[in-house]
Amino acid sequence: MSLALDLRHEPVSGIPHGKMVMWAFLASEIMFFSGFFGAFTVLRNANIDIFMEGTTHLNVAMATINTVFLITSSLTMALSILNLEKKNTKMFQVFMGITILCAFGFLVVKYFEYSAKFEHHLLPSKSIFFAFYFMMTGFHAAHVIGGIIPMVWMFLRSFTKKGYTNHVRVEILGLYWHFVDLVWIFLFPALYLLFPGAHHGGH
Amino acid sequence: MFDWFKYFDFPAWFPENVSTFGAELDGMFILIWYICVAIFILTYALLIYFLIKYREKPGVRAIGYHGNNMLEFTWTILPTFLFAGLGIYTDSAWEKTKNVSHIPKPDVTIDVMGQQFNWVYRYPGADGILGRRAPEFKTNDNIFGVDPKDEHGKDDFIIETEMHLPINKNILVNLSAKDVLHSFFLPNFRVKQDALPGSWMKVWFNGTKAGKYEIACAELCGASHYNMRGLLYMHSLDDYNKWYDEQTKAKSEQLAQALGTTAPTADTTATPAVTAGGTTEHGK
Amino acid sequence: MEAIASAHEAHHDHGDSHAHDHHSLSFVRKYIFSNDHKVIAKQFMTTTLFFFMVGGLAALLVRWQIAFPGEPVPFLGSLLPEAWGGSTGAIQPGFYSQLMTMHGAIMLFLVIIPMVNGMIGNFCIPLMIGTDDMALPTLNMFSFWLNIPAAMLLMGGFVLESGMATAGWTAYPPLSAIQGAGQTMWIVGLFLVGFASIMGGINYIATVLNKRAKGMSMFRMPMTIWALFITAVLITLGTPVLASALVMLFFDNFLHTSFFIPTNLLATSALDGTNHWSGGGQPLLFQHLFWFYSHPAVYIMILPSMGVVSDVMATFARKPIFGYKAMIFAIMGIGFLGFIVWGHHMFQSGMSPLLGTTFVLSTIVIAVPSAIKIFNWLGTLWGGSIRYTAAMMCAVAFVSMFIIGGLSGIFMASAAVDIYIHDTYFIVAHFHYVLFGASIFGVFSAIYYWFPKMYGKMLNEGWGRMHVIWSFIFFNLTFFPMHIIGVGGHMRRIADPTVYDFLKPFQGMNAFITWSAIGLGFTQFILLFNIIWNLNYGKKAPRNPWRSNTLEWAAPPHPGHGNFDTDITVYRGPYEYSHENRESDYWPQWVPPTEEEIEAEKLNPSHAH
Repeated sequence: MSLALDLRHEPVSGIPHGKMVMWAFLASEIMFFSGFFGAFTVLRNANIDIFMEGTTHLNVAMATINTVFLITSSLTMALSILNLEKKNTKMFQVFMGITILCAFGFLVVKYFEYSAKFEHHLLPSKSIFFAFYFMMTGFHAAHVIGGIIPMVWMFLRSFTKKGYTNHVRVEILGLYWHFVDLVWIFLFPALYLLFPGAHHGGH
Repeated sequence: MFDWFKYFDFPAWFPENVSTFGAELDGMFILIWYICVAIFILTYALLIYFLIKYREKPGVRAIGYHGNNMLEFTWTILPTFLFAGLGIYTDSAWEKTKNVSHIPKPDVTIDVMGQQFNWVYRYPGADGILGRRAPEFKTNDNIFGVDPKDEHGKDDFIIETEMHLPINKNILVNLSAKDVLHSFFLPNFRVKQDALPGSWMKVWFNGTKAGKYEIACAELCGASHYNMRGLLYMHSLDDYNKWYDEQTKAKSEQLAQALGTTAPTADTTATPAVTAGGTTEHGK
Repeated sequence: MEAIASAHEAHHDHGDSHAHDHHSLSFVRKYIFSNDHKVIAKQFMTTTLFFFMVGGLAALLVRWQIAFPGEPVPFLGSLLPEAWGGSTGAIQPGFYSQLMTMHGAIMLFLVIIPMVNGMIGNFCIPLMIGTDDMALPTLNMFSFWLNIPAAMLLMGGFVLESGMATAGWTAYPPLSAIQGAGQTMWIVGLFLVGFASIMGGINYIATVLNKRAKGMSMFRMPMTIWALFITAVLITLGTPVLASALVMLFFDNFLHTSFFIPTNLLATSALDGTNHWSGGGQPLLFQHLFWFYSHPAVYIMILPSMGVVSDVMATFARKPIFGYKAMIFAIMGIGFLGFIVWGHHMFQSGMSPLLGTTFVLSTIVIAVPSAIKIFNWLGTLWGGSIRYTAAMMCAVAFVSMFIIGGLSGIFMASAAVDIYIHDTYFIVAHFHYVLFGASIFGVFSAIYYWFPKMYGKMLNEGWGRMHVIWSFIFFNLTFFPMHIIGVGGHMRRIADPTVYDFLKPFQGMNAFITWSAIGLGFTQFILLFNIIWNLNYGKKAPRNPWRSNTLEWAAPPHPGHGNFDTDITVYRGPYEYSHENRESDYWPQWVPPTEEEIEAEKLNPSHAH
């Protein structure tokens, strides 16, 4: 309305709309992964031998590299937000760039991990363990891809003449990215580490 | 004249009850029914009275009344006690019928398997002991997954659709399903239990009246779910033992044929399947 | 104030169109991919009414088969392909399963949930809290449009030779895991419906928390908004659990994993004819995850209707809602407890009987807030001055049917009594009383109540009352006898009850139910006709036809994008009807108090919020 209506006022709670929606969405996401983790707990207890055997096929070294990638990217994401708030575009670009590289690095490692499994015919239908492995890491990887797209968009926009200044959006994306990181922090031990000493290298 | 009244008397529509615990379960239904009728009459009387009395009338203004905390408190506490009481009251019957640790010592134990689309029963045979079963032995020729090495399993006989049991005996049914979920429903015995593929449920009942009863499937199991009807013949003990002997004899002849020898029939039919005293000949 | 006055002028000059605001928007952006919450609400209304007819037709076909098994379907029978209608046009058992599954899934996921949340939620939330639109309008648009491909997938099996999903709306594995392409598409479709629902829900939460008008504190919000808010929380926390269960089910069905498939299942996949499950899964696990969502979903379906009914009752009884805060706490209680009672759907499923006892107790606790609400509605009617508009009659129908539906729920809340009535028509009667008798009557009430604001035209009250009365009568004739055949042991979801001897005596009653259901189905055309006729020829609606207090009535009839033509400040709670210090029997939330009124309030304070 071009008229002097005061309907588009500031958010009542003081939290921007987008951020509020993102918090609600993350609550929803937590419940989504809780469904997986709940099923994982129940079926792992019922099939402890299958899970113990399945873990031996996983490559802890690769997963550790991936953990480092994700934690680093979480840190650089936070730094990029900080720099955009300070209108320091150069540093924003640097840190956002590192974040994107880490995210891609994660996916590349994941690609090698998956193709090694496929090579050995370790498909989701192989056993209940691999069903969980592929489903949970697969959905997590999809979330990583979902994060990369807006990151790349923001990153490229910051090089245009208009630049990119919407630090609230980057903050919202940051919330999402930390969540993706957090899911991995639960996935990594649940799938790879729960049986200490069960590892003989893996594929 | 008041013939139509029966449509408002739900408990009158139960099929005949022929199990020992059925009357107790029906009694609980009837108790809740009376409570519901009382609440129904109370709330509807108020509702209809208010709707008529407080209809819009010229010159009469509504009361700008926002509520009363004491009333809210009252109608929070009263239903809480009523419902909690009901829950606690009906729990004993639930434990009695369903809790595995409350199952009385069985006189007859059989396996029941639901499959698309009929019921299959396994009786313990001449030795009165069901052969050991394990999921890894399950094949389409051995749907119960009986261990082929177990001697007790050799004489077990399997029949389909029609089930025979003695009256006034504690029956224990081990229930499972071959392919999808089924639900073992004996309307006259007030028994219902879902059959889960991959696990064995224990269901017990005790029938009090001889006759022919229907077994239904109460869980959607595919296109012909409606047609998954079984029959349960409840016999007096003598009739049951007679039937049981015939079955064991037939089974031993079948086994003998498979082995190419004649059947030692006299030995296997010597012991009655269930004795009148109710000792557990094959109640394992 | 100048600007506001001129806004009034502008409104009166241009009628309802607000055309000056929309020159820049193309037709597509304005009417199809619109961000405007009111357009999205109308889109939801159109699609849900369409699906209501589809789901209703499925129900009538199902009823025909049950009452007259093996007899050709009148009129439609000859149109059915051989696989579904046989050689005579009688419904085949396989087609029956498809219809029954589709009836349930369509009515729950494509009708009731989008109606109470998509339609009512989208229309009411911004208007009733006094803002211009949702927090994120574009997300809101997506939450509608995602429903369309989702619905197409859900019913996608219609075009396949193997047919639609047949595992029931609950889709319990292993049955749903071994079925063919129709079922696979159904699972994906339902996942997308859930995703759309979550996109709506998180938006509602942010809107209610962030976009309330000046002076609109949380405890000045109308019951409708409170109900929609709590519902949005339930959607946000519950739906993703269903989504995770559906993902696992999809894997089992499509990729032959074994989340819900036990070891050595003797069944073959209809998808590819193989039996390659490794096993180790548990069928019960799905039921737990499913009902963890689907019990809260029951409240997702009914809470908004409860809110609507509270508002409609207050308006037409000209009375404040009885116990406003108690009502809100009851809704919160229901919302919270809704997450810990799911097991009562599974008493006979093979779950541990000890868990059964636990769930009996939690279920009993959740009955209490429902009872509180009933008594509060009765309290609202008490001392009122009740005007019997169509909307009010729907609200009364809601309360009376909810009483019956609530009472019949007590039977199945007790695990012991549930043994016998589980999976019988007693359950069918119960949830139709709650979902149709309550939820859908609440939706009808909302349509009659807000139509003037939604389209700027009045609906015909006489036709409206006819529709409500006949729906009410036919509804009861259809579903009350189901209690009786349920007590008689009549199982759900069976295509031909005459197979069983003990069900044969109920065939007369089954026929009676079917004829009543047909009557109920045709009665709905009165509503449809009322809407279509009055869209074109209806009387122009005034700004506040019901003399109501809530903010949406401050907006012009059929408001344009931006909703309001005056600044909105809220001065009081939503239920100041028949206030003792005032001559007028309502006191809208947006009207500033005059000095005399402030004085009067000081002298004689009422317990206004």
